[in-house]
Amino acid sequence: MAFSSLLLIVAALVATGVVLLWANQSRNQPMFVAIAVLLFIAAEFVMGWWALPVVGLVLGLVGARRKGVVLMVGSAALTAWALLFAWTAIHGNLGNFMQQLAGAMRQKPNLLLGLITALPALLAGPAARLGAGLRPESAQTASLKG
Amino acid sequence: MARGLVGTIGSAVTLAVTVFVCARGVSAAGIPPIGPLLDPVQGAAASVRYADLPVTESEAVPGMTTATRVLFDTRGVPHVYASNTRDAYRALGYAVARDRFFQMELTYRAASGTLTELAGARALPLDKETRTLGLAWAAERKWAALDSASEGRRAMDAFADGVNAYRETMTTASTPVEYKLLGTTPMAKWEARYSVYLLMRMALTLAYDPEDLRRTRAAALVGRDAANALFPRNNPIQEPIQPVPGRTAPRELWTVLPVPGAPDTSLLVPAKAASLLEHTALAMPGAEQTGDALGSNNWAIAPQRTASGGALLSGDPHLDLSLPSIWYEAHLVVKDSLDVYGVTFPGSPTIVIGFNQNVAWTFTNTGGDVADYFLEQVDDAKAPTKYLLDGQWQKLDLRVETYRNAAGTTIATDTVFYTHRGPVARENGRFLSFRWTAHDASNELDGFVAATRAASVQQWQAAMLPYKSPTQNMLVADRSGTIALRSYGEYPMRPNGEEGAYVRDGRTRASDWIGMAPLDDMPQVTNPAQGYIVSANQQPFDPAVVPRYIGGNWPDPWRALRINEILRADDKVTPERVRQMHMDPLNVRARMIAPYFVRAAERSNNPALGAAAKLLRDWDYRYTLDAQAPVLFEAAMKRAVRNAWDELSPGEGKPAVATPATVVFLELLRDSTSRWWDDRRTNGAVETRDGLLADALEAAYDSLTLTRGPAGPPWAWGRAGGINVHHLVNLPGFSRDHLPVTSGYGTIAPASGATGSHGASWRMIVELTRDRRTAWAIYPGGQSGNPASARYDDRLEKWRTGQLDSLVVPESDAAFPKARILSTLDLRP
Repeated sequence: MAFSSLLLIVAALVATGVVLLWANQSRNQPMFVAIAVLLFIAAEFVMGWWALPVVGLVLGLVGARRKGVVLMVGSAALTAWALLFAWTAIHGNLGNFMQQLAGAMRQKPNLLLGLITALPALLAGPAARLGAGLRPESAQTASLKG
Repeated sequence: MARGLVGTIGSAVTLAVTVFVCARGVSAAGIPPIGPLLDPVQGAAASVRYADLPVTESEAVPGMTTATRVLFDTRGVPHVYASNTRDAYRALGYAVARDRFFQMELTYRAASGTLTELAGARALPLDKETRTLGLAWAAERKWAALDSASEGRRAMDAFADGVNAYRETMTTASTPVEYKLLGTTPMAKWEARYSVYLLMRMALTLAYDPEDLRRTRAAALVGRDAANALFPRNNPIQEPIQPVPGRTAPRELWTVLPVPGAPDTSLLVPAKAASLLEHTALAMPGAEQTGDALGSNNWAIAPQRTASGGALLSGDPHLDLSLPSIWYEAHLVVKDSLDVYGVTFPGSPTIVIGFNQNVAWTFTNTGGDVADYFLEQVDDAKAPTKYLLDGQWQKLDLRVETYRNAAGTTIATDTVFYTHRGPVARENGRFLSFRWTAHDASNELDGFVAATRAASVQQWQAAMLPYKSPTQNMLVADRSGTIALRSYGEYPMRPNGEEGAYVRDGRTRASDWIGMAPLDDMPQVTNPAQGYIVSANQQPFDPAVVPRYIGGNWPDPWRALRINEILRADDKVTPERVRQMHMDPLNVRARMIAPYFVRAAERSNNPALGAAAKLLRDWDYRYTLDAQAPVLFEAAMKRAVRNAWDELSPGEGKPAVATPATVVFLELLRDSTSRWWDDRRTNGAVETRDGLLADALEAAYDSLTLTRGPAGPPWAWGRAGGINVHHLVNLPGFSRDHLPVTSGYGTIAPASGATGSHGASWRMIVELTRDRRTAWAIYPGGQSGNPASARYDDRLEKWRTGQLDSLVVPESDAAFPKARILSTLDLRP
């Protein structure tokens, strides 16, 4: 594995730690989403699409006490992908290429767009729900009291 | 509590299903693993980030001895400036791999019968065919026979160094998108020997034509006399490659076709075996499928007939058109040693067609009879171990072929048998062995490498002496004004002067080849008095002058006739005139055949044919985009040809076992009452030429009216389907199909029709005068294999409209015009 990849992994882990610590302290929802977006982006570079279920699960565990955590995590994942595609679009004609890609897959471009939109939500959202569900009730209660 | 649990379980199930589809895809539905594919960082979209070449880049290449600079010009062509030739090949390997890695792997796997390792079990039938034809077996033999110190071998080694240096830098993100769509990864290492496989692949494309099988099947239906006439040794119109001194017009050798004969029962068994083999995916499509578009043109004009007073060379090879192109353009410079520009096959370490400072060269396919099939008798049809030869049982060699998937797991095994002649194809208890010159040990690359350094036509021709297969008409011109053509490659000699027109008897050695014809017997010409040389796959010799047999059933002569016609009429040829010739829309085939339709319509007294006849009568036989007559003519021809040769169909509704060339149809047209015009299905009635032609014309007109509406703009040739440039693995989104072109069946720039994908693969003009070399060229597509890149198809529109790019060929990196530099790549040891 390249040195740069190792660095990214370390950075992602540190970021995860920060989120975990912060999540237990703060009830700032927008900040939670923003950090979740950053976390998804960082993890994407390390583990590709697996970042969606893995980070989603972790955020679900951490944010189990939060109302609407599934929606927040799904939105964060979607935003992360949107930002990453926007970054890619800076380098060339992404729209034209995605149309070609849809043709290569023998699909309509709108279907591909729909898939790209749905995938982060479908992976990160249920993962967050699962994470929240896996967290022991007592821990959730303790968190709420704290 | 229970609701929460249900929700958690539901989420787990949703997640599991989504993760599964993302990670594994749904192969039954043709859905690839969409997770890695759609990932914005490392998935398909990443191709966009690698679409442009970096302005500057520096990489280490193991094996590189000195720093080598590669300047990519604004057309994406790498200009390699190295201090020795091997570093130049390393740099070329790096550059080609960066632009075309998937194509290289695909072509190698297609040639080695290992496509299953890329595409899975769906590629198994193709791989089995490849291995049954002995392609991998022959490539291994060629590789083993190579002298490791030979120039060709050293070039392959160096090229592989460069490819692997690039492969090392490849990341998931920079992996070509095709791998992501296939759900697989690139091969870990490019081995030098793979270049030999690529040459075998070209041999398959250019020299594998199961003509013997088709003729055998035809003879089994209509007798040998008829089959020999329908697939004749000599073309009825001669404008040969090797010109006949003093002749200023084509020679016509028309004969009266013999009537359909009784089936030749002695050929029923070989014909049955042939029928099993002929319609394979690998077989070269017949002219009726390609519209004669799988061929090539080249011509050279001597200084006395050019405006500049220098030699002019035109290269125009016709091959399967694909995106990315079969060609990759490059310029290799080693000070005081090498300065060669041209195109190479991705995976081949040197320039194949191109020019250096003194010489320019290009090829057309010679064709000819370089393969034979032998019907073998084996000891046990189910589990053979021996074959009969001169009354003695000989041991069959066995080669167990193993087919693996991408994970390396064996998915199938197969046994291919070999006689002393070559691989054996078997179907339903019948065994045909295959002897083919392309199977023999050879080292074509030695020739190509040495030829790039030639300073004259003579040196170039001497360099190509090791060349054996596939047979090519190699056209060369040099700065001194010499123009020359020689057909290189091996032609087998058969016992007693026999011709290899039919499946041969494998039970006796008396059927075997007795050697190869000497090179001096091959078609060749140097500085002919007429001042030009033309080859367009036509019969190379005028049989009235050189009766030697090197093959039969030559491709139609239409392109050759037209090129000769133009050059005869012009003694001040310019590069611009040559460019126009590349796109010349006049069709000699239509000019010779369409009047028969018009006369048939006029004689028929059928008023319904008036409009159709008028359309053809007023036509100038040009396939321009707005012309309507070509659409009608081609539709009528299709019907007329099918109906005329109905005797070649093995049964009602079944396709003909073979279709004679159009020039043979023209021969038939000269005989208005030939028995061939009679439709076997109409008992009692006897049809004649004019009746059949009128019927075909009327049916074509009616059909077009039905599908396109009344004659008018919707009938325009430009809307008739045009030409297709498919992606390598035929992915529609990455293909550019139905491009309207001013070409058709038999024009100089051929088009293989609405469903075909053959045509002009590289157009090149080189003018060589005493003080300069100037070159123009284009191919359909672009240098990059990345569909996200502008360089993927940036030349396509120019190619379609017949334009050429002016080539920049600086002799040093210091002399390179700054405005033409797109990217600089420094490769260091």
